[in-house]
Amino acid sequence: MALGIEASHVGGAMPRSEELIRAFRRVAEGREPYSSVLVLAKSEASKLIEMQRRLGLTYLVEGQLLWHDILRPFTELLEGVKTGPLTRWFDNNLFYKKPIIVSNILRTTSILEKYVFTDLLSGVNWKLILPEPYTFYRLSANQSYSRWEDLVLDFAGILVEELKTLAGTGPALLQLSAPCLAEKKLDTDQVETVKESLRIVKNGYNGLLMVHLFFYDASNAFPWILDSPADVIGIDPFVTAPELIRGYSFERSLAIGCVDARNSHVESVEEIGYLFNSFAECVEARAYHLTTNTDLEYLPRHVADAKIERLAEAYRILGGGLS
Amino acid sequence: MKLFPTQEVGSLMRAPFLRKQLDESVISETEYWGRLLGVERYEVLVDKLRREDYTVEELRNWASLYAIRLHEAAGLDVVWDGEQKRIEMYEHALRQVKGVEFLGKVKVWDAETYNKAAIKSKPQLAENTYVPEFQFAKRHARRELKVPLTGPYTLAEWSFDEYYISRPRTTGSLIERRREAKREMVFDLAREVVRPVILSLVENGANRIQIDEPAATTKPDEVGLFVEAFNEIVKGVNARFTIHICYSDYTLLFPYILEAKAHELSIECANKDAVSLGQDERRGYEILKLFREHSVDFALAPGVIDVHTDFIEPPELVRDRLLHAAKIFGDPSRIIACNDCGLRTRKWDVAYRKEVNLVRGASIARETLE
Repeated sequence: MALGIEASHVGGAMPRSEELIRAFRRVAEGREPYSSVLVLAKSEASKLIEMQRRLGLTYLVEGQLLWHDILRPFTELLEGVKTGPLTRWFDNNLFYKKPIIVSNILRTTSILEKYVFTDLLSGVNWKLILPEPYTFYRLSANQSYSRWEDLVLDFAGILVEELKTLAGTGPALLQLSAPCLAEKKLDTDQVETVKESLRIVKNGYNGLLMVHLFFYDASNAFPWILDSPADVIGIDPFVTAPELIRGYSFERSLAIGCVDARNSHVESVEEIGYLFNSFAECVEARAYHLTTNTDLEYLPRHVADAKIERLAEAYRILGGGLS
Repeated sequence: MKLFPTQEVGSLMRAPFLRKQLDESVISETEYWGRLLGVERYEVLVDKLRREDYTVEELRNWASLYAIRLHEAAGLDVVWDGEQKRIEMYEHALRQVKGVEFLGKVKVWDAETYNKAAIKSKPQLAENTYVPEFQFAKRHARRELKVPLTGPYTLAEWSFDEYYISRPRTTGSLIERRREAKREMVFDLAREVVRPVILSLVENGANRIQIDEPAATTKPDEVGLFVEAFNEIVKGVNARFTIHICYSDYTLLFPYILEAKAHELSIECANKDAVSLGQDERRGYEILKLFREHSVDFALAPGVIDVHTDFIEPPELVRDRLLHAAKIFGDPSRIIACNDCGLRTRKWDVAYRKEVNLVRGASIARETLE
């Protein structure tokens, strides 16, 4: 089985090493300049890329080590957004700073180039993770837009502008993290706005577009997500009931997050294979990706590294990658 | 019974002589606090620090005494030692448990992390530092004591599971098997770890215990599990129990919390409230309407002191918050005056002044109603 595994990659936000955590704390306390963190983070990003390359993963991540949370670059650098209170990140013991939308959002400076080590990614098939526009809206406090749809579409436009700044060294795979699309079933108007926002991103970006539905049962976004412009649909098999997506067939790829980024148990290849097959047998996709269910930042760094190694091993043994 | 009794919520920043390099400024600070708080024989400690003639255990005992005196000097009715002998609420609890391995730092936000453990086998209490900690406090306290303990749901929710999910289970979907694993993990921590500690404390004379469950609402579909586990640890125990839950969506507690066999629920409100005076509108205490609507039978301890800011709430603000809370809740006799959470992130001078004003504010609120 497992024919058609065309790619393997991991969730993009990696845990920081304890040394990097300490460096960030020194910066926060004003004891060191931010440049010291940049040097250290870049060195760690470089090693991370090299590790994934050695292991044969298809799309490599640079770890997004400078991002305190996935929304933060936009929270801090978009005009019209203020940094709000610490807020729980879904059902995790992890918190993000809520963006407060105080006026229509505007991009007045390049954002991603300050957060991504693009110079390490030249010639690399790399993966970038960004917030899906509807999820961004849901995780924000909107005090300005009279129509929430406009915020979603404006944010999609901003993502496109940002991706253009990366042009030459842009990501081959863009993952839009979209738990809010799976949290519950959306109504028709919401779905249409989400699709429109995804169309804006897809039209402005040349690589593969993945919408990753994690933390919640992905079936909540079926079947409409199959009509969206996403090239790859990601699911979290640890919270998705396979019977609810059984029988779907589509001309897109299905990314199955068979490695649990929220628990330290390092899955065996057999466990990964069993889980992969139990979902791949349910859904007939054009092809499959083997991935993590979410970002690996929920783990201590050495555990995350062990999970990447095991994912790569499973990818080889299950018939993808180098074999 | 006294209206608006005052109490702390557990932690306090480490005493100066525990947290710093011991130079002359630390010794002066130790002397200052010893004198101000009326710590008996503090000169002995100062002398020992000067001569560098002390053990770590001695310093911890002194820290515990200083913290008790700080709470007492502020005038609180119910006190504790500020958790001076503990690492932090999670690691301290699990360091005493067999079957647990600490794996390393994980992010909570920005550069803030905690040392996260994995449950590797059935957890069992291997050590119990809570009893000597309580005995020391009991020997020295002049006010009633309340012992804080971390609850089983939070211990489970903040840990990795490498044991329960790996146990063979023949039935159910992956989702159901994981749910069952989580339930076993929570109940083992309740029965094998937290309940034995409670029983040993009560046997040694503890009659007020606070169960800290900040993770209670993390997973909305598991709030009922948190309550079940709480009821398991307090079953048949003769003591007054407080549940403390902070920085949470309290709407998720309902209806499950109605089944909790608790005497008090301590929640954070001041952090969400304005600092202007007034008793008519206070956004931080809106949530109390929900508790009234559900006719809860426990007392409520809404935080009237924000522990995340150095702003010293004037007594009049504490008064207004308490009177407003009493009005919303509908029963002043079941409102307790306390902080949002432990004061471990505030310096001692800030913490002390906040607690002094907590007591003053409660006093004028009391006078207003009486």
